[in-house]
Amino acid sequence: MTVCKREYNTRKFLIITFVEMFAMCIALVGIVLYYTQKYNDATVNTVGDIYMEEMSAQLTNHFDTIIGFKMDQLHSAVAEYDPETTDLTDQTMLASLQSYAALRSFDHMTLCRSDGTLLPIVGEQLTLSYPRYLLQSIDKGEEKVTSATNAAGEKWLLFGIPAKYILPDGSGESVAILASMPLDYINDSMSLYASEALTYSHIIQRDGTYVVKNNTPNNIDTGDNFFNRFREQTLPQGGKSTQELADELKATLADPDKGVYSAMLNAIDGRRHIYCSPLPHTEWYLVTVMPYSTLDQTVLELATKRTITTVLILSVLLANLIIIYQMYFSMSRKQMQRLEAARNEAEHANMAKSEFLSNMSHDIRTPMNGIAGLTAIAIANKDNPAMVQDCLNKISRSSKHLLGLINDVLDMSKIESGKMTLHTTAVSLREMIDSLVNIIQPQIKIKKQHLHVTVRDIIAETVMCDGVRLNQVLLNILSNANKYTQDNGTISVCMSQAPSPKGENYVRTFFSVKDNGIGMSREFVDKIFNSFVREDNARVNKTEGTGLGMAITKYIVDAMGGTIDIESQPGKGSEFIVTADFPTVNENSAEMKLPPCTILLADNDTDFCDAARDTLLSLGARADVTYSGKDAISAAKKLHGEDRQYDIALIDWHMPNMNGVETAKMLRETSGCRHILLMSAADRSDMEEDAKNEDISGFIAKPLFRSTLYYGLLPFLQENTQAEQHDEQERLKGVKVLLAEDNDLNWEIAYELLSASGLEIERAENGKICVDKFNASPAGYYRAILMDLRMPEMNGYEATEAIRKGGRDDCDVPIIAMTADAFAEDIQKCRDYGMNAHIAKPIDTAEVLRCIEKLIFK
Amino acid sequence: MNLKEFYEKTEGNYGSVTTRFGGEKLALKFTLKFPDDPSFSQLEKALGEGDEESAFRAAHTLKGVCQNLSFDSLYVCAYAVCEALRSGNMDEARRLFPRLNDKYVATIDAVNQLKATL
Repeated sequence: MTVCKREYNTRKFLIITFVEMFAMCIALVGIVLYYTQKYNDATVNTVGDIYMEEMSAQLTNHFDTIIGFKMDQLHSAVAEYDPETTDLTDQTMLASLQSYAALRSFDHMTLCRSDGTLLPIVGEQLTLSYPRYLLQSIDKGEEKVTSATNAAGEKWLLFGIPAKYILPDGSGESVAILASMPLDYINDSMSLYASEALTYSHIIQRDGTYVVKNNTPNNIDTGDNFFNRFREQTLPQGGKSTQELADELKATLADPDKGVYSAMLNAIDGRRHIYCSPLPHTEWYLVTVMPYSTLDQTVLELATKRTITTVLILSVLLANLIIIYQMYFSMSRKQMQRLEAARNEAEHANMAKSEFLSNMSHDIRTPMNGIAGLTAIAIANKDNPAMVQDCLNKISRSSKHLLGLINDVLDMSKIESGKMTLHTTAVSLREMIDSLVNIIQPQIKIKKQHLHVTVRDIIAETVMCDGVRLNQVLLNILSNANKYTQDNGTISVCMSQAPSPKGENYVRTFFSVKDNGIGMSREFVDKIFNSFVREDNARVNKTEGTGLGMAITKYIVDAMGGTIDIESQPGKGSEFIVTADFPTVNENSAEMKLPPCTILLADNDTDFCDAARDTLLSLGARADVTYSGKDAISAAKKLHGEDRQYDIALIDWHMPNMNGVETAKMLRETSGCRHILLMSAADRSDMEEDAKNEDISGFIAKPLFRSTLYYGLLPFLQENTQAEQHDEQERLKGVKVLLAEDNDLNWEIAYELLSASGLEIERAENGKICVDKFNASPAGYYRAILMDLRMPEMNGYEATEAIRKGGRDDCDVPIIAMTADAFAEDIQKCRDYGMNAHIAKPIDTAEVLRCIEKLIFK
Repeated sequence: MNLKEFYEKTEGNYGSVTTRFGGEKLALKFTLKFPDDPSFSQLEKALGEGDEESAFRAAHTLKGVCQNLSFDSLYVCAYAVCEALRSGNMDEARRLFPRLNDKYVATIDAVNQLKATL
C-alpha cells in the first residue's frame, strides 16, 4: 500500500521533472534556431552587399585593365603612324597598318568623321550605335569605349582616342581613331558569367539596352532592354510598385553622378540582389545579379544541416536524459522495495516476537497456574495421601513442561546473543541412538506408533561432536515426528555413514527421521526454521512447544557445519535428514571379533537385515538372513537336518504373520538354535512378559551397531562354551589325572587351568616318578595320564612304554602326550610308544578337557 | 606398568594369554613367577658344560614355558636354540644363545618393573 503510494509519488515527481526538462530543451533549441535564422538573413544580406560590391569592383577593374591595355596599343599605333605625316592613301602604308592591326588583334581600325560616321582603314564598314556619346567625349579630348554594328548587324566593341588624320577620301580630317574587338572578348576575359559563380552580369547602356547580354542561368531570353526585363520580373515590395522601382533604377542610372544602384528585390523566380555600377570610359553600366535562390539554397542547406545537428544533439541529450531518469527511477524503486521489505521483515519479526511473548506468557502461565492450583489442592487435602500424591504427580509434570519451555527460551536467547558454543567430546553414536530411543519410546507407546530404527554402513561408531546438542537436535526432530504423526503411524529412524569430503579423519553421518504423519506445506517448510514462528496455530495449540525447537535445531546443525534437508508432503508425511561431518576417533574395532559362530537373522525389514548381516560378517560371524518367521524356521530345520545348530537366532519382535515370540517357540521345537534373542527398538519393559518365556534366551536393542552386536552376542557365545564346560565339569569332577611335568611353572599353569574343571591333578616330576606313582596306585585310580615328553631321569616315551608293559589291569590307561613339538614325526612317535593322543603346547584347556573326556567316556 | 603394557613391551601376545587363562589374574600370577623358572639357567649351564642332552631339554622346557605364557618374542629365540640343539649343533646353539640371553634379560627386567608397580 505504502510502497505503491511512495512509488506513485516518486513516479509523479520524476515524470513532471522529466517533462519540464524536455520542454526546456525544446524551447531553448527553438529560440536558438529562431535567432540564428533571423540573424542569418541579415548577415546574408550584408554578406551579399559586400560580395556584390566586391564582385562589381573586381569586374570593373578588370574591364578597365583590358580597355586600358587596348587603349595603350591604340596610342602606340597613333604614335607609330603620326597623323601629321601618315598618308592613308598610300597602299604600302595601308598594308603596314593592316599587319599592325592583325598583330594586335584589332579586327577593325577606323577613323571617325566629325559627324560621327566611320571610315574604315582596316576591316569592314561599321556604324556607331551611339555616335553622340563618342563625339562628346572626343570633343573633351577623352578616350572612349563604345559599340558599333557591321552591315550584318554583328556588334563590336570600339575604343577610340582623339586623332586628326587626313581622311583618304578627302572629306577632311578625322576627329578620332577607333579600333575594335569582339564583344565576346570582353565577355570571355571578364567572365561575366561563370556557371560556377553565384552571380551573372550584363553590360547595359544608360537607357537599358544591352551592350553585353548574358544568358541567365536558365537560358531564358531576356529581351533587348534591361528595364523591360526588370519590369517583367520584379515584384512590388516595400510599398512600391514595379513601375516605381523601375523608375527609381532608371533615374539612378540616368544621373551620371549618382553612380551605383544596389537593391534587394523580389523577383518572380525568387529573391535577387541587383548591383549596377558605371564602367569607366563608357556610358555603360555593369549590372551584376545574384539570384538569392543559390545563396539561399546554400544558406538553407547550412541551416538545415545545423538544425538537423541541433535536433540530433537534442535527441541524444534527451535519450540520455530518459535513460538516466529510467535508471534512477528503477534504482530508487528497488531501493524503496528493499527498504519496504526490510521494514516489513522487521515489523514481522517484531510482531512475531510480541506474539511469541504473549503466547509464551500464556504457555508459562498455564502450567504455573496449574502448579499453584494443585499446590493449594494438596494443602487442602493434606490428610488424603492419595489426593496429595496425584497432585504432586501433576505438579511434577507441569514443572517438567515449564522447565522445557524455559530451557528452550534460554537456548534461543543464547543463540540470539551468539553465546551458544559446542562442547566437542568423543561420543558413541550407539549409546546416543540407544538413549534417544529410550527417551522417545514412552511417547511412541502412548500413540501406539511403530518405530523402526536402522543403522547401516557405519564406518565409525565413535565420533567427535557435542553429544548433548546432537541429541537435542535428533530428539527435537523425533518428538516432532511423534507429535505430528497420528496414532498407529510409522516413524523410521535411520543412521548411516559415508566417507566425508573433508578427509580421511572425518566421517559423513546421516540421520534420517521419516514419518507418515500430517506433513507440511511448501510454505511452512520454507519458514520452519524461523524463530518464533508458529504457522498453523490451530494445530500447534493442540500440541505443546515454544515454536523455537526447529530454530534451535537449525542453529545447532549450522554450528556443527551440517545441513538439514526436509522432504514433506501434506497428508503424506515428512522426512528430515541431518547431515554432518564429524571427526572420527580411533577405535580398536579390529579387536571386536566374535568367536566363530553361525547366526540366524529374521526380520521383515530387508534393509535392516542387509545392514545387520554386513555388521555380523565384519564381526567374524556367519549369518543367514530370513525375512519372516516361517523362513527362519525352515532354515533352522534344514541346519538341524545336517546335525548342526545355529549358535544364535536373532528374531525381530514385531513381524507380520508370525511374531517374534511365536517364531521363537517354533524354533525351539526344531532344536535348530542354541539361543534365541529377540530384537526390538521398543522399550525392554514392554517385553517383560515375554522375558518369562523359556524359549527366549535374551533381548537385543535395535539398532544393531557393531558394538551392540558384539556385546549383545558375546555373553551367549561364551556362555555357550561355559555351558559345555559346565557339563564337562559335572562329568570330570573328581576324576584323577596324573600329570608328568618336570618344570614347576608349566606344572602350576596346567594344574591351575585343568583343576578349574573339577579334575583332580596329581604331579609326577619326571617319567620315573610317573611310572612309580602309577604302579603304586590302585587299579583305575588314575583315569588318565598327561605326559610331558622331555623330562630328566626318564622321558615321556620311556615312561609310557614302562606303563604299557607294566602288565597292570589298567595299563591301557589313556596317556595324552603334551609337548611343544608339534611335528608330524613327533606325533607318530607318540603313537608308536602307545600314547592315545597328542596335544601341542601351549595348553588349550578346552582341547585338553575335550580330549580327556573323549578318551575316558568313549 | 600394567600387564597389557608389559606384553606390549616384551612383544608378547596379551590377547592370547588372557584368553588362555580366562582373564588377567592367572596370567599375571604366572608372569610374576617366570623369573623363578630354572630352565634358562639350566640351559646356560648345560651349554657351558657342553652337556648336549641337558641343554636340549632345558631349551625345550623354556620354549614350552614361553608358549604357555605367550612370550612370543622370547619363544622365537628359544625355539631357534632348541632346534639347533635338536640336531646336535652345539656351536650353532652357542652362536644363537646371546640373542636369547638379551631377550631373556629384557623380559626379566620388564617383569621386575611390572612387579614394582603392583
